[in-house]
Amino acid sequence: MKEKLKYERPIITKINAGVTDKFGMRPKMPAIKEIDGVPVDTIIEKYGSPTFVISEKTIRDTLKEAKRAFTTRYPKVKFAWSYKTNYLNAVCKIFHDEGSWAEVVSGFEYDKALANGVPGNQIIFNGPDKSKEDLIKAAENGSYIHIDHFDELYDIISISETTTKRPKVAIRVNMDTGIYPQWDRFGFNYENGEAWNALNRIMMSDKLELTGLHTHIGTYMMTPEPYAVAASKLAELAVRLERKFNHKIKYIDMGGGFASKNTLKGAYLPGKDTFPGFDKYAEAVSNALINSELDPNEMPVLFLETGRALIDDAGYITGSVLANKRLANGRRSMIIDTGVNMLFTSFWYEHEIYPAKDVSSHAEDTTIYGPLCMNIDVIRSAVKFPLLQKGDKYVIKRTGAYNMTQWMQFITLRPKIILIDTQGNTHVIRENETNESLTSHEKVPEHLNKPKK
Amino acid sequence: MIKEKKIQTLKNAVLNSYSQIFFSENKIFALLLIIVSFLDFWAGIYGLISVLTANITAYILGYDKTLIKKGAYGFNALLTGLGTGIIFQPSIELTVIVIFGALLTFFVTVALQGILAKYALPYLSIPFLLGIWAIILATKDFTALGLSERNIYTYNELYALGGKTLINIYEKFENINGFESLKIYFLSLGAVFFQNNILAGIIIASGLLYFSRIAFSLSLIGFYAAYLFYGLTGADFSALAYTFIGFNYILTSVAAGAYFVIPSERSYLWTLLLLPVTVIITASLEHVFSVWQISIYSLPFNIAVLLFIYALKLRVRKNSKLTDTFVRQETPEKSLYLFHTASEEFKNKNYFPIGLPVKGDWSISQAHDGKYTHKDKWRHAWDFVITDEKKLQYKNKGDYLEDYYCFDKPVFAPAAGIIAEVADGIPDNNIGDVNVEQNWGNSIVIKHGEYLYSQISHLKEGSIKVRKGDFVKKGDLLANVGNSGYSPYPHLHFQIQATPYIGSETLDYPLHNYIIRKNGKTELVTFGKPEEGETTAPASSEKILENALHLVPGKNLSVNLKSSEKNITEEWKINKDIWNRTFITDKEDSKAWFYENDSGLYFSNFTGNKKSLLFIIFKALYNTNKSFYKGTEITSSIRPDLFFGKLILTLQDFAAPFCIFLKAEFKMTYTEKDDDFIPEFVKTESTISKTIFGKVKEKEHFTVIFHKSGETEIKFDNNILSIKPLKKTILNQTAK
Repeated sequence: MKEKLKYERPIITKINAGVTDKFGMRPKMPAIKEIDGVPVDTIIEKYGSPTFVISEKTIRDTLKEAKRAFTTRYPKVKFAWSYKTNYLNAVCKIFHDEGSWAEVVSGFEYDKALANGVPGNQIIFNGPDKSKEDLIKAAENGSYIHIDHFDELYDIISISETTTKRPKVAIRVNMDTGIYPQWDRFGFNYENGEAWNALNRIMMSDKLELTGLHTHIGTYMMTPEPYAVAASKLAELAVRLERKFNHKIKYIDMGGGFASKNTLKGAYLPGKDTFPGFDKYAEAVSNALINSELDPNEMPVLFLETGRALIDDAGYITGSVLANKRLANGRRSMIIDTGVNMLFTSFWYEHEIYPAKDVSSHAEDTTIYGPLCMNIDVIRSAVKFPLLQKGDKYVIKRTGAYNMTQWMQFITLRPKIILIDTQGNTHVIRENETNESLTSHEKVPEHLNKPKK
Repeated sequence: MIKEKKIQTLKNAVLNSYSQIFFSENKIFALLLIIVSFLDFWAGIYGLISVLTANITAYILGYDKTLIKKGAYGFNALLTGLGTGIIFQPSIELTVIVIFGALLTFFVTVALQGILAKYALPYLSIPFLLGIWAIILATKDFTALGLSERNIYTYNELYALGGKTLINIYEKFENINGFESLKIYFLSLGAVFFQNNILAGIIIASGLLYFSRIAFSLSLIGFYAAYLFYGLTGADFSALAYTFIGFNYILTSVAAGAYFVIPSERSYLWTLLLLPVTVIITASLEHVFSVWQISIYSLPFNIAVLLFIYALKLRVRKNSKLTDTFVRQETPEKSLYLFHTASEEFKNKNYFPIGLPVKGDWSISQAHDGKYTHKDKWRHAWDFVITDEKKLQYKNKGDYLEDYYCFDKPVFAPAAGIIAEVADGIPDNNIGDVNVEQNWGNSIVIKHGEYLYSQISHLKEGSIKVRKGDFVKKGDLLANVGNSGYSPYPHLHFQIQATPYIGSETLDYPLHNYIIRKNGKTELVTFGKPEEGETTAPASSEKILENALHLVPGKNLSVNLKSSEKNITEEWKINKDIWNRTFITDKEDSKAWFYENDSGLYFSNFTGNKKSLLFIIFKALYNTNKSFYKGTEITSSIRPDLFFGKLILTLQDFAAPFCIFLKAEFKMTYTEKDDDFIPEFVKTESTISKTIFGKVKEKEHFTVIFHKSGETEIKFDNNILSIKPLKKTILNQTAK
């Protein structure tokens, strides 16, 4: 029996010049019917709506591509997985399995990395918030502590009196790389001499072992040139350090900040066209280091803490449409079951959202709202979107970075996260929350528990 | 002190002058030969006078002390002295003539050394020939000399020397019946020292056997080959025993079969072929020389051996089955064992290290004798591409240059050199298209040395960063991979060649220090030729290993052995000899010879006490590469004579040219490194398996831990041997 065609409510749209593409066809939104071979319908049926999906294959492929870009240009390259970008244990373990170290920014993340089986001497400890206890633990484990400010440096010098091992430290350096706004809140400034001040103090204290130099020049850098500037400045610092103290640093850590293919709000071109690609970043950094005065026979290891660019593409959200309605001005709006509480990045990205089934070429300017009872819960403020009906499925692409760490439980409960492995099997890697999982942490004072008379 | 040294030099010079006649520097053999020379007392005296004259002259005139010590200037004079002393009655006049004869021989030695060195040929005993002929021809006018009658009245002589007992012994030997040929063999051997008795021959033969089993067996082979040839041609061999001729065949056999070439089946075969030639030379020259009534002595040996060595040296294709001995050891056996085991060292010395022109993992899409374009004159080339996990060279559909992983990737200088040629400005082809006109595309040729160039082709238009005449270091950025020339898809063409032109004929030359990734395992190659389908990357060396294995002459090592019962501390010195061969030596003067370069530390030889601590480091670090790749294994063989008992080794020595059944196999596995890039220590396990006919008889195991501090720990059988470079203490002393 032939399936009955779906009814689509007629719409009236103004004809704009250039709506047809070069083949005379009207633009039609492609559908994402499956992820890594697993049908979206199956995912939702099995794991509920919405569900976060992570593709193991995409993670591994992307990391390999990034590695290939760097290792074919620079002799020693190491990636350290930026925990804050996505610290789901399953995700971290995929990265560690591919040889990545861990880059953590808090005591909590540090313990998580240890629990994931990362040896202490393969953890890079960043961030402005490290307690004395954290520092002692990191020092004893032989982790690499990246000092952010003088107060932390004093702390480390004081703990180094008592630790059994010499703490391995590096300083975070911030500098003018020609970008605006210049990031100067992390680490010590290069231009005003603060970095030297910190290095002098470290070198004068024979209790600390200066292992490297670190910088994190910014985030979502869409052009590679600032990395070249930063790399040559760090290389110069390393060379001058060697001249002054006869001390060779082991590594230069270029931090993260590579853009992903997501489109920033207000960007003129789509992100997938503006993303320069790993090769361009690699070329900028490697050439700057190779062309520096660093001894070519003993080049420092190049560390990269790339997070977003490695994981964003691997994350999807699948869910269903809750309702359609017309706004007061006649504009169409659609309510879906993913809100800003789950898709935190929709505050700065124009996330790509696709239907999970074939649709007609008729699309209407639509505002997509989340399910929250909050005015700010907007996933896309304006997108040409085909008409989906209640219950129809959708897929939001490139949600792998930051969402699963920055999301919050608010109004609704957070859904399951599943992983599609390289064989196409699905695994739940984080269970959905239940009332119990929230209330288990709550405590009600005795007097409120008395039954009402 | 200096005087002592002089005496030591002279002592060595004298002893070696005797043993050098049999290409040996063995002291015991030398003593036996001295005894033999004194079987005729006066001949012995005149021989010794000659040796002293030649060596003292060489010393005073300031010739190379090492050569003097080796007896190189003495042995010809010795022969002249012996030869003169045996013919004439002892007298003051004869003494004078012998001294001047020694001087003459010495100067001829020096002159011939200078002349023949240009052809890398030895002077053998030609100086002796010229010396003794000169004396004999001259003495026809020296009426003051009387001919010796000693060799005629043998019994009188023997009685004077050793009384009745010696005569009894002598008679016993002389009267052995049968073994007629063996008697002639001993007589011929004795004739080397102008002795005409079997006793001398027996002493020399046992000395030769003690010195080298191979030389001994060759002496018999040489003798009997000639003996049979005489029989075949109907000549009378027994006459030779009385004319000092038969030894020619023995010496020829030893020299051609074992000394100047590595003993092997082929060298034995060639010896057998060479001997009839020597017989012909002998027979013909005897007629020529009879005109002047002088003996031809060792002339046939000199002619045959020189011809043979010279012919071998002029070969274009060297083959491993018949190789010149280029690093000569004390005995032919040792040369042979070393030849089979120290090939790594020889490789390192023979090839200029040219690495891969890329960084990171690359695959070989076409290797030597490839199926597309690496053919004929251009067959020794490699094409490099990058592939992904699915073995694809591109992402998306591969329709655009940018889809190819290798496109636009940087290319680095594979070794230091001068840019000899650059071609740029040829556009990159679209995928599938080729440029038949300018088929090499944008290319760079680098000169690494005389007749050694490397060429890199199909580069991206406009990406070349060097100009003709620039000097580049290994690892300098040259250009980026492109798709210019005869290249349907982006790849990098790399070849080694002998001429500086783009598109020169290729050379079959290995690449240096790279790894091959195969089924998750990493294989380390010091010198090799990557093959099609292999994934390779340049090997990067590990700083800790670099530090620990960097042994520079002048550096001293502090060594400590700890076990439950012992605690020994020693100091070792690193030194080198005049040929720049480096070695570690301990207080007892045991030596572990090694060769070190950028890629590793290779021990080549060990001399001295095998119970010393030094022998442990030799065994544990026999062949160590400076790169660390977990799980890689290095295997190589060590000279078996260092590991087996005298008895079985004697058997092996006899069989060695044909079959080496005793083996000592070294294996090192890189097991642990606490951190990929910033390690505190690196751990390896080495084993030495001693096998007899392939059966493992014994295994020695060493765990070696290289620490960041520069300390190396070798653990074995509950012992810990730690080796530390000694810090210089000068600063502390001045502070006091």
